[in-house]
Amino acid sequence: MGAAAKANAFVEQYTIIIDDDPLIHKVIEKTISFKSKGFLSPAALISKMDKLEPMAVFLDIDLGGGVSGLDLIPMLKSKWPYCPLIVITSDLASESVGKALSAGAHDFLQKPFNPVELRARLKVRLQDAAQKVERSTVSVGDLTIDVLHMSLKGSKGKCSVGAIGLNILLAFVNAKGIVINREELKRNCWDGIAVSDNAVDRKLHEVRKSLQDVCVQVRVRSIYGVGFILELVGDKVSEFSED
Amino acid sequence: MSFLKTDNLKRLDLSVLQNQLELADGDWSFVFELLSLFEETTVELLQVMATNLNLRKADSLRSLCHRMRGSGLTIGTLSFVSLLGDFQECFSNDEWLEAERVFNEICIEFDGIKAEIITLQKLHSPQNHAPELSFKTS
Repeated sequence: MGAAAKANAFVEQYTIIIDDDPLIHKVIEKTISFKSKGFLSPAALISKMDKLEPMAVFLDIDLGGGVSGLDLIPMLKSKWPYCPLIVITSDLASESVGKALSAGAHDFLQKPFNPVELRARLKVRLQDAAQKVERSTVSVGDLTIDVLHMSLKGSKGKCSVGAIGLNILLAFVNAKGIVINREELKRNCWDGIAVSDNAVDRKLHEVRKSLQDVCVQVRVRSIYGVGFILELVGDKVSEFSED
Repeated sequence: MSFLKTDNLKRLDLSVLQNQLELADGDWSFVFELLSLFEETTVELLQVMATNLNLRKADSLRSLCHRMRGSGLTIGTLSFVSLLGDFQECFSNDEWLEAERVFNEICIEFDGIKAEIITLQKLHSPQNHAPELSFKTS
């Protein structure tokens, strides 16, 4: 997927608003002109979290009943690492804003919202997030390598990958269709640690297995007596893109 | 875009409502939707607040104040928000009798807000071209 397409795919989603006040939901939704899914409490969100992929999250700090939005931030960051997280508060003097930003929130808004400011902040945060996605993912065929989160995603599913496996895959991608031999893999993927041929073969086996599990187009092929190459299945000429 | 200019409304800050009106491209029904939502939720929250005031539950009251302050700021009930601040200060300092007095003021203020919402609805009803309305084009 190209950069522009990826950015579009990102902004065509929806936001999540977590605030115990439905009035705030309406105002935010009207302001940003994007679809939103509103939750009045963290519990309501958590039960549906696995099915959601928001483009941005608005989180009230004080969610009523002694529940703090601050407690939710680590979970949100872990679940949606690229997603802009904007905290909202009616009390800027509160220490909570500082705590929220320290915990990983990207920005804050004060009630009542200035619509122009809200839109501007969201726009900037979405651009930041899109750039972050661009920088930390690499796409080859139907495979996307998430460098930041050490995971692979393809048309068949997703899986996590270890640091060495990730290094191997990136070495292949960077080679852009050129054969890499074992010595080059040892030198570039094990951070200077001396390893045996057997260790390289075992790791390559794991990488191949991961690729088979998640995608259909990308394979590591052995070229007898020479080395290994990442190839796009079905293509005579391998095509690599680093979005 | 048009907005209401009137001296009849003292409790609702029309400059704040103007923001909401602009959000909705001049559609007053969105503003009234917000005002109705504020009214409905505040009625409920004031009842809970009265109960918690009787029980002297400061933490619950603080949370309720916060919630109402957010809504109040969003629709421009600035005196109401200010009273909530006074109320919070009273019970935070264990001045419960004063807190009860301020709570009564909050209820009176809310009644006034409800009356102003009705006034605003009447003034801005499509059937009513009230003389005290003046429209400005921006």
